[in-house]
Amino acid sequence: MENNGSVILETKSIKKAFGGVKALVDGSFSCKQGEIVGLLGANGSGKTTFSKIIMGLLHSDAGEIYIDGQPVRFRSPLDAMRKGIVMVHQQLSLIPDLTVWENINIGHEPRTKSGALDDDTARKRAAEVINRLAPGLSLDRVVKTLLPSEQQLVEIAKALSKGGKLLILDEPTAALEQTQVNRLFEIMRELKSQGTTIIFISHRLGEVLEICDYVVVFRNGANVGTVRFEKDGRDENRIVSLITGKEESGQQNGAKDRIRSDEVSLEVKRLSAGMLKEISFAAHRGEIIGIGGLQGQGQEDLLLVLAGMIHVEKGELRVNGKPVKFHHPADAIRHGVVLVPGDRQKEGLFLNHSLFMNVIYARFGLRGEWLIPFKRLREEVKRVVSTLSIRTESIETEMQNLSGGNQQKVVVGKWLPLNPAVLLLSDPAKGVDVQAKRELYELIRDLARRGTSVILYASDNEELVSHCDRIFVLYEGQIVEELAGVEITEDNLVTASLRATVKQST
Amino acid sequence: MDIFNQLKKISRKPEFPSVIILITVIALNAALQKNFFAINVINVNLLTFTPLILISIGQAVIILGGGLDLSVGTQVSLINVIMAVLMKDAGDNQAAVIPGFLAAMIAALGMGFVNGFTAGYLNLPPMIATFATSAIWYGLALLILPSPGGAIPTWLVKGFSWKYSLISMPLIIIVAAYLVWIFVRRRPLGRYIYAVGSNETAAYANGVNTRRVKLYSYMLGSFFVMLGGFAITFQAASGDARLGLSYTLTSIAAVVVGGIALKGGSGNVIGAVFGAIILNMVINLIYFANIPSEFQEFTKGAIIILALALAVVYRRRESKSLALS
Repeated sequence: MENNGSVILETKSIKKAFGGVKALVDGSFSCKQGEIVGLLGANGSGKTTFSKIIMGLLHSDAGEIYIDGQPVRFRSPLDAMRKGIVMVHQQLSLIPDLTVWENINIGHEPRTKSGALDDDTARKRAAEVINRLAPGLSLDRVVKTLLPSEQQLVEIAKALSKGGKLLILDEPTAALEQTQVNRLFEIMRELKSQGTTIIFISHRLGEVLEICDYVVVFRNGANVGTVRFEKDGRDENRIVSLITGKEESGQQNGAKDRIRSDEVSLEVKRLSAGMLKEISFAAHRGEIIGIGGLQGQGQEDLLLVLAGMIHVEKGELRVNGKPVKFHHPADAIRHGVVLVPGDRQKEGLFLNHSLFMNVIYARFGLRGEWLIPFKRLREEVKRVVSTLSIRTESIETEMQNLSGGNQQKVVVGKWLPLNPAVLLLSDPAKGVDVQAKRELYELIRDLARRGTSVILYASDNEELVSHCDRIFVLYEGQIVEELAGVEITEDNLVTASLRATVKQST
Repeated sequence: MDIFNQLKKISRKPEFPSVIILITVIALNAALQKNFFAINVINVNLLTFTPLILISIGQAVIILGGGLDLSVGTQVSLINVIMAVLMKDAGDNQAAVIPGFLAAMIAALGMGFVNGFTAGYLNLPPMIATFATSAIWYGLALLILPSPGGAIPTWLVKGFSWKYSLISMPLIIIVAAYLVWIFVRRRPLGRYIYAVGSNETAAYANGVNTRRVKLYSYMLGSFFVMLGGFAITFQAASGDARLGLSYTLTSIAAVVVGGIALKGGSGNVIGAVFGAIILNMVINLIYFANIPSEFQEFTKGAIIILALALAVVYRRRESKSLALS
């Protein structure tokens, strides 16, 4: 059925550049009342820039925006909100030191007649959305103490409570579990039936196919096409080829083309630290080991312990047969154990430093250099940039001017020159698009082929299943199951994760 | 169980360590000074503590909003010399002090406006911007009163030291100042000060007018600093451009000892009050402990480091354990 609602938002050739990097070349777009539009594109295709311009957070260099047919020019988010535009931000827009209910009401606090804060009404308003979206979450928790998935839900709840007529959701599901996603979709459908327009930005194709009426694809900062599901069918391959600009070839599992070496590069014996209890395993040279299970069962802690960021309480670590003790991340790096952290913006990068500096920081944990050999390093960094095909003006470009996918390549790629023995990856593909994800895993497989042991934690089960030789399922800080070879399927992994909870509670 | 939970809740408050330090310092002080709990000793102590308490409240509001004010000391100086010069000839004529008060108030809000404008609208780093404005306020104070002088009418000085048992004028002013802050906290501005201090970008994305919030936080801070300036002026009963200088860094120390994060957004203003009392008491303590004068500064520094370490380490541990729970 064709939707006959009126056009809510229309944009014409919006342009935006950051320090010479063109983020948006031709941002043209339009959507009608009561539609759910999927906005897709690789990282760096300009989706987030585009939505921030609509939200008044960034100012376009050129182009026009029309709301309800009227030309508008937003100077700040407040202007956009007054027009009924509300956004869920990918980098979240929460105030860490305020509580859940204070955050949900921020910027539109209910007031009493005298102009004071009406906290009772505010709490009620917050309780309403939280009960629907995240039942059981306490309104009085301070936001910085919440899990990433809970923070994401609060961010969504905040937008919902503002009740705009155009809702922009930028990667709202990246940190969520399936049941939470389902609850969100239920609410989205209800809003749609009430006439709200939703722009849904996501890298998860399955979700887009499920919830959207049609998708618009951005590539290299321009609108490259629309796929209307009623007319064109729900054709996944067509969308993917629009995103990448190439014809899609089927997914490949890289785990099968490697032979397991007998040499052990990392051995963990009865290790306990924080929530981790009695963890033992051995990682062979060139092996990719997955860490799976439900969210928050100690997967990230395990990586942090191996990287020397959390101290070992009990147990033993051996790297290439030698017993080691890590007092500091530098110790781990010197032994060739390196970490790609989960939050690249906070822990992995120096956003206001150049790409060059970001790559060479990796070697500062090493000893033995009196002077930094800048000339040689520049060549090395240029090689890394070309090996990984990182899109950048030059190696002197500031990190923050690179797109998310390219930033992620730097976080992984900076370890390449060091030939690490063990590479620890904490959700490396989170919020990274299809193409960048594939390139990233190619790179990881390449490292494994050259003898690096990889330990991978990913929140997306599919990533674990398609890339790992073995998968350990964690529950409450313990390895409760190990999957290998043909046992590695998504079904088995999910079953194992859930079975652990049953075993423990009986 | 209920009491246990209550205690746990109290121990999670950011100003909790400052309460512990305060109790310790009071206990030590009481041990060294026999009549420490006598009513008139309490009143005298409070009288001398009042300026730092009020100035620290002002500094706390600014720091909570993500700012910093290195000019509070010379703001006090400028207010002091304005009053001492304008009230010099007032004598017993009560109406004649009004211009002095008005001018001081306009100066205070003006200084808050300038600081808030540079930090909020020009986006200059507050540490340098307020360092620069502090020199301007000091320069103005020296222009108005190049060498110590001026005078405050005796009846005002007496009025400030008015007391009835434990209720004294300084106490009334402190409580009134705190109530002003409570009033602000009940309004959107209060919450926005925390929001901007905690994460300015996020506050902006939520439609908060972050520039205006910063401006107001500096002006509100300067209002409290002005009250501190009144307190000093009525004690000194004369004008001196150097009078406020030492208060700048001391007020920042009081704020941090009081459990307020220097990066903004977390902590309670009452903590700054505790912090100010602690720092004043430390000076008392050194005096009554008969520490030789050449060791006094050294001891003061060491004790402040200790208090600071306690407050900061505690906050770090708390936020960690909260994140894990």
